[in-house]
Amino acid sequence: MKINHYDNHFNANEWFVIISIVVGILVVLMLPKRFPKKTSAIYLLCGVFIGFFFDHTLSVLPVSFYDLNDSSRVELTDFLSHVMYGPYSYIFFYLYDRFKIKPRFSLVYILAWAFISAGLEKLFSHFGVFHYRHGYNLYFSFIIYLFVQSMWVAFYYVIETYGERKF
Amino acid sequence: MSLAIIALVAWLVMIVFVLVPKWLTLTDIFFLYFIVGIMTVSLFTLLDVNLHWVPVTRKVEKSLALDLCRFIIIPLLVIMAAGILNSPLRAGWRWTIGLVILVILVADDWMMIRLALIDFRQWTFLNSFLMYVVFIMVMAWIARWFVRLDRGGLRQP
Repeated sequence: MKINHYDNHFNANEWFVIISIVVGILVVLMLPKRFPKKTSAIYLLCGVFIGFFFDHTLSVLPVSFYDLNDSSRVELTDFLSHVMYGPYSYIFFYLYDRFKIKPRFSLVYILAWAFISAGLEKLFSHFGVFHYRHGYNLYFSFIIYLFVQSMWVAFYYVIETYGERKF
Repeated sequence: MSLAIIALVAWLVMIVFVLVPKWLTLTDIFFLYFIVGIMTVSLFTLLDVNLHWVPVTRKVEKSLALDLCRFIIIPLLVIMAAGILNSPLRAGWRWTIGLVILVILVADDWMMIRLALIDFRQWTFLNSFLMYVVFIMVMAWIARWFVRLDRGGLRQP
């Protein structure tokens, strides 16, 4: 299997990922507590999981639509790139709950977040975190963001309603 | 055909998962699912892309089948095992059921090889068995910690 190399230095992409994680964690810690610990944990992990899910399905063969960071191998920075999504998903759920978004306004909320997410991804690709391949581009990601964040809203209601029920 | 077979197995695993008691809340189950999912995809990618010990298929249909294994079959079986190991059942039953799930996980690996979804180059079924033992034990420990998470914390003044 051919391994693509983009660079092998500790440079912009690594710094960008580290700074994003630190800023994200600080924001999460500074926000007033809103959810029980367990709920906070799954709202944080939700983003990390989705990052892993899409990056390990879309960025590996047979599709391999993009590579992360320095090469198509899995590196520590790739792992950190996924962790970076944790605070992002937490803030998504936090603001949804904080502003008590009504279901009929959920689509507007999701659209706004899809634009924010696409903007962030543009920034990430500029700093060398994402390397698109085989015709993949930001517009496809935009659709994925709309889908994923719709799932998150559904997930929010499921957890709020049935989260404490034992199975 | 591989996709249909794996989809059928995944469906059967989902049926069992829904029917058996797990002694976990929905929040616990989602938490464990996310952790198992993250660990499974990381292991598969590491063993394939980095180490080339367990190369995975590059065909579209088989890749979809592999995704069903990675995101449904393996996580649900591991969550069931973790739940049962922390259950109020007698120790003998807990370990017996845990062992049965372990055997099913190794059988799932065998099925993936038979359907040409993965290949064991520098990997054996013993490695798989040991990996799943560690996986289940770690998940059982994480489940134990997470279930008690909201009981701890700082006391309110």
